Amino acid sequence: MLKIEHLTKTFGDRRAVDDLSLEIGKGEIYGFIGHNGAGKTTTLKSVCGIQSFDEGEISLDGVSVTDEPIRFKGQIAYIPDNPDLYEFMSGIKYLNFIADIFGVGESERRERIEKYAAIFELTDDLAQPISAYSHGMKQKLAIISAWLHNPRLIIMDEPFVGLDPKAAHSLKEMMREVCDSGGAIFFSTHVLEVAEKLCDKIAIIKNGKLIKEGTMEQVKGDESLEDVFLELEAEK
Amino acid sequence: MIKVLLKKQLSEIFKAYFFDIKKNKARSKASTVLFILLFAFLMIVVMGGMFGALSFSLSPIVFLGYGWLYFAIMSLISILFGVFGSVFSTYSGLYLSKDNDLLLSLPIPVRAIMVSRLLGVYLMGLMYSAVAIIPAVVVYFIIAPVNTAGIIGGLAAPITISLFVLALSCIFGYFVAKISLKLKNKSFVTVIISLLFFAVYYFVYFKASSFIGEFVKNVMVYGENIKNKAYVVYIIGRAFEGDLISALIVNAAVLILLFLTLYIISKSFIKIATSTAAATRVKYKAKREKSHSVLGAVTLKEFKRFTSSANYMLNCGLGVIFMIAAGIFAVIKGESIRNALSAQFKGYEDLIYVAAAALICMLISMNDTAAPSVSLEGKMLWQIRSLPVDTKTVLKSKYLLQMYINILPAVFTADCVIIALRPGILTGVLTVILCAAYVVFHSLYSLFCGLHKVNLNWTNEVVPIKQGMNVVFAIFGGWALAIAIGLPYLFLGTFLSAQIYMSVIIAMIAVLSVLLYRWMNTKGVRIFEAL
Repeated sequence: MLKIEHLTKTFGDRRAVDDLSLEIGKGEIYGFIGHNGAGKTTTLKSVCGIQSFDEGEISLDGVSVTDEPIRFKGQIAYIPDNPDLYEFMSGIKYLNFIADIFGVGESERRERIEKYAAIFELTDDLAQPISAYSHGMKQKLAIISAWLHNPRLIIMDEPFVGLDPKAAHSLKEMMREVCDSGGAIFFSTHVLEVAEKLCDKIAIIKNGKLIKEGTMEQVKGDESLEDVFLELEAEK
Repeated sequence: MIKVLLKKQLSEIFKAYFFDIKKNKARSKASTVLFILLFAFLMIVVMGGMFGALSFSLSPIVFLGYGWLYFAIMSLISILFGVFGSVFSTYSGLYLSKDNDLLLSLPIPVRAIMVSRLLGVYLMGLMYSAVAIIPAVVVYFIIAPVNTAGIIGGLAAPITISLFVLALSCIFGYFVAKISLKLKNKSFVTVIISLLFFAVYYFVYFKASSFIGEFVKNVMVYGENIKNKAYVVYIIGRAFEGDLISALIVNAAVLILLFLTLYIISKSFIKIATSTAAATRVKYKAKREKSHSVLGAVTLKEFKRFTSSANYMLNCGLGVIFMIAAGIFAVIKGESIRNALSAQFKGYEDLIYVAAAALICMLISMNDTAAPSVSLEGKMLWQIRSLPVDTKTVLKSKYLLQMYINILPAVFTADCVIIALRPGILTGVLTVILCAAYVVFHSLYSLFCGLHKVNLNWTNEVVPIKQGMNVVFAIFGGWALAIAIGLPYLFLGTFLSAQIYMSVIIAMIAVLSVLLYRWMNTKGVRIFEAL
């Protein structure tokens, strides 16, 4: 489904991402872990077409992010690590804006907004300006907006930060539902317990290079993911 | 403790003189000196000169024995100027400082935080009130025979007034904070209040000389009335004139007021500074939401951004009000304008029509919403970049908003000018077309400026809206072009009729617009995508 081939991105002299290749298949929840500054966010931003890259190719079912960015972006959704949303809009206006951009019909958008706002207990606050939202509420709104157009691939950077336990649980269920219906999830996290329980496949990135990748069993074997990660981090 | 906080506060207040926020590096010594000299010139020469001239125009009342009234009037002006200069910084400085939470979490007494914050407010009030009262004192010392008491009274005036300004600013700031916690449409309320303030300011400005003339002529009547009915004003004037008892009363009253104000503010400081509750919580009720095309949605987003910010509306849309006001004024005063201009430019009427069109273009140039629109994306840029929206469409929404804001007022004003000047049908039609073409051109040109001077790393939206080179180039470049539209006709008017000249100008604007449009869809797209 998503294919990243030899992705390289440099900032000045520094190689933020160095010849990274990975593939995410249908129905997979794919975790992306690494230390701070390892290159996770740069990779995710490159995948969703926000960040240009120096070398490599990224495609979704054969649609290239560089050659056909609009078609590519039409099939994905992205939630950044810090949801800086349009604070001058109310929650409902923001969701309608996103629905307009993706061309979601009026009845579907109403149905989905009602469904997901109820799940995240945000319904009563949708008329409030986003500037009045807490970090967690903004994160919930960003998640609802990402689910509005039934994307095939959802890319999330640290999606559980700021969410209360109930919302985090709901998000995990929603992620699984997306994969069960033939979609895929690609997300970064520092919470290794979550990654261990939730992910079908995992990739560990260090200093821009992919150092381990595969199914959860292949990566961690009999050890815990935390032990594997710390061992790999300790290696020079 | 207070010393440490004061140091922090002072470095914050004067940071702009030593540090270039945009470039994120320290200014050179030459740049700092130049910056300070420029500010000193503005405050001392321009503002001080203005109030010095005002003081001289009031000086006849000193010779008539009404020195107290002279000081009372100048003190009042100084207080008003000082309060207007510092009241907004009181509110933001006291209650909206981003480090309030941090300082309140540290073992620092609330009083110490307040004192350090108020130092900034005091300096602001002192600066604004001093540029009004110091020239008044200097003029008084020059024109009136003064004794030692008079000198002390005059020298004490700036200090007493600045303390009074501080007390008033704190009181106003306190109420602004209280009101803003409950206000729903803050941006619109701010725009309306600001427009009212502008209207009052210009009304007073234009009426000041006739008011002073009338006042000086009847000073005895006004003076006695004020003394009998507003004795406090008389005491204030006497205090600065050098009367010891009056000075004691005034200074004691100011100090008591100041201490009472500070006491009340310190009691409620934590509550207000940590309150985040904005308007009353509105519970969402599901209703049918209208869907839009992609272009419609992004243009609507730009419009919401515009109307959500008083700063944006006032700095990039004020020309709309000026255009409409100019149009209405032209219609109301049409006959007298026509007669006056016909008498002055007999045989050169065409020049009037071209000049009128150029003037409308200048007003159009004041509305430059597209210029800061790219920078205003700031940290939210990821959204539009991650959505399946063509960059051409994103840019289109930005210049379309400016076109929509300008087009109707521009056509309205052009129509009003036609009604007022009666230039004939063809010239009238060409005036409207020229103004409409200029709206299209200036919208594209503003975005061109905005794409060349992008600043996404701002912490206060005023920076891209007001202080960036994008806006400077958009407005002044627009004015330069408007002048370039009118000026050549001074020389070409003898060879060309207004109709031919306007037709050529319209064609030139159209060509420039097409070139800008093509640039926007090629180079402009590449610049935006590389941000």
